[in-house]
Amino acid sequence: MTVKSKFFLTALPLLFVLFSIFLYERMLDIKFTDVLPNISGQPRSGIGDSIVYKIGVVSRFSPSLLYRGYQPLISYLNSQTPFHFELRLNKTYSEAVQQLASGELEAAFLGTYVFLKYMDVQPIHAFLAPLSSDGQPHFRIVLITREDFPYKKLTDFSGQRIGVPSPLSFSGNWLQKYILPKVWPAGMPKPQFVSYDFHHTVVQHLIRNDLAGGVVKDRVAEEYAGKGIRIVRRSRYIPASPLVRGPASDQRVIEAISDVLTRIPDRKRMVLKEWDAEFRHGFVRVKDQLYKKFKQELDEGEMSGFISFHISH
Amino acid sequence: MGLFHSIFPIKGIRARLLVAFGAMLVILFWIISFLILNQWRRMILTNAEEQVESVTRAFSIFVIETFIFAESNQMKVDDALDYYIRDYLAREPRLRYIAIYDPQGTILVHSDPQRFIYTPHDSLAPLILQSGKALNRAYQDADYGWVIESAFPLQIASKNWGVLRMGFEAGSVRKEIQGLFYSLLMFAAIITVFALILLYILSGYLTASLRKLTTAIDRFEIDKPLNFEQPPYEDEISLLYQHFTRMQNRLQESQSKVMEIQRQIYQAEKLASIGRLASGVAHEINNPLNGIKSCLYAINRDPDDHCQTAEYLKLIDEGLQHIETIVTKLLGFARRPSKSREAVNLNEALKKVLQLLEFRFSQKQIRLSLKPDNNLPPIQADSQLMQEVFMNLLLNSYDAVSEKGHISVMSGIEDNERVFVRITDNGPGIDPEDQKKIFDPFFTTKEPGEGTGLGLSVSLSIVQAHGGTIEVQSQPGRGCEFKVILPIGEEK
Repeated sequence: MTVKSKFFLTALPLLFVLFSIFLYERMLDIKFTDVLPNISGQPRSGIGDSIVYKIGVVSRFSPSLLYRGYQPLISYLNSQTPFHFELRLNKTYSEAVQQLASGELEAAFLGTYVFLKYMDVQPIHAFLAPLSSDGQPHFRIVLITREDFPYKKLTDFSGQRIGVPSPLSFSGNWLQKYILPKVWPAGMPKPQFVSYDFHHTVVQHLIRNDLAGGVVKDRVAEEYAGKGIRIVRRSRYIPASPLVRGPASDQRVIEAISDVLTRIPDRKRMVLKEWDAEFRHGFVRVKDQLYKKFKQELDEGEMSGFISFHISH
Repeated sequence: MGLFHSIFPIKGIRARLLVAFGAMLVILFWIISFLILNQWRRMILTNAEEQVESVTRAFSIFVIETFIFAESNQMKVDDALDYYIRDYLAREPRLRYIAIYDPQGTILVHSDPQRFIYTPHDSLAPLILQSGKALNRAYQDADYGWVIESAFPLQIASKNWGVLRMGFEAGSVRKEIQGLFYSLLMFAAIITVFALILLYILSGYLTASLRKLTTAIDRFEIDKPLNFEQPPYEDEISLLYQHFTRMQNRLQESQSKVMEIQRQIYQAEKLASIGRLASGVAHEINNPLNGIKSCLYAINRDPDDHCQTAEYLKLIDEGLQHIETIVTKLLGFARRPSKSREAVNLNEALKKVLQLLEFRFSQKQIRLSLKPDNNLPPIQADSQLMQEVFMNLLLNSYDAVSEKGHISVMSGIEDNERVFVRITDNGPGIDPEDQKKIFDPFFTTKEPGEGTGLGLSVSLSIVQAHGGTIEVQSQPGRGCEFKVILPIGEEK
């Protein structure tokens, strides 16, 4: 055997073994580090201003979920105005109203029902309201049931369970407070009302056959269109939940908020998709008069049966 | 194949096939295994990374909630986070640590108090927040071993609370890859061995005809047909068989010619020997002829002397018998050798040759010592050729010795398997240089016309044809010894 042969016959298996060992070490060395993207520009945080303007919101959802819907709007305000805003979570509407009145909050998102309740007793004023898909600052409440349920009219729900959202919302009060007292036949057993925290929960329980019907905002019902529910009745239009200012709110700040949120350029309308579903069609300036008029109509209707919900028996 | 053979000097097509295909298979399976292993390793790591990031993302929701809750309730955030971290560490056995840094990278909470002290700052935190994406890594830690860590930004939109780092043990990931490595190594080894066994069997089928042909060639005799059944199909083996058969035919023709020429050479050399014997033979015949002539003269002179006539006729008869004997011996020597072999007693062959040389030896007053082994067994040989060998060697000795020289002839048995005839003379011996050439055809140290130079060459070829050999020992001035060794063999 030649020297070359000996070399190859020794070197090749040795090389193979060495390479296998190398490969083994290489495969088991799992060390890695993601590469950070090349970041340019300013940090996303707008921290830097000395004054922080707080905008209140009542935390009916999980705080992080609420932040996902509201924080992008706050971030947009921070990026489009010279002011720095922060969300402030309030446990209750009354707390939010109190903080607005005291000036602790610059503005707050309140429900229509709560605003109507407090507008005459506290110096708070609506200045913006979200638009619905038809471009108007209003919404409707709907009575829904499952597609396969036989209920056609309100009295069909006699003695049945109907789910409603928070008692501090219009949806939670509409049927039992404003409608049934007017239209329900005497002597007929009324529906049983079951309260849930959120509109979506009402729909979920309805689909799961826990309920015969449910009362929710039209926007929520639209989300479930084609998913096993149908609308039995709709309410008249109700003014949308307003963004409210307090007596000590800085007018420049309120004007800046109003200006930015009502004039979102087309090129920036993509940001609306990140906002809470209620704000995705933008905002419009509103005045207390809108709500006062509605309240007047409501009061009068309640007294005289004016509210036209077209309930059929 | 030349390069391959120079590197791997392996004999046999089968072995070469095995080595070549084995090497190729090993390399091929190694490459395939490497590619599979690399791909699976990537999948395992990606999966582990995604799991870690997913868990970190899920846990970040609790952390953000806690931050928001603490802000709303004017609480210290680390108090609330401590509870979550302890609880989660207790629930998740793979979790090694949880650390939370504020947006500037200052540590807020760490599950390991020692780390809280010694790693108070995370310089990457602002960058991670700025990128808005998780930063994952795997590394080896002196305390935790191999760890996969995800650094997740605690932020919603532009609201930043900090960075959450969660480290999970990665030893199980390495074990998974290790298991995969061994499995693939084993798989490749098994497949390679299996393929080699298959190849060995297949190559056995492929080379079976070749091996049969090789065996047949090993047992090949030039004058007998090849003991090999020609393959029914026209493949390389069949072609090889056809060519070999043709070569066999050509060899047979060549051998016939060579043998014919050899016979002619033997005969010519024999005739040359007879020529050299002619004077002795003539003398042997002449003596009785003179006697016969004298007897005839005496009978003619006195034809009535019946008593004398009867005596002389008896003498004439004896003389004629002597002449007949000489002529018979000469004819017997001159006869062409037979092609068959028979049981030959070498002592008898020697005697016949020595009788022919008797006169020449006496002329030169050579002293002959004959020591035959009377127990010498007969050998299978051609008697004529054996006589020719001895004639050549004895004539060679005769030429070598001077007047009154000495030639010794003896026979014997060696190792119970061979017989020998040793012819020794006390001539001048052979020069060492010439010893190498004495069996070459036409080599002679005699004067031109005194020898053909074929005697020893022919003798050697005859002895070799009988399976024997001729050894020569000589030193200049101290004579020469030729030893003819022949196998006893079995009587056919």
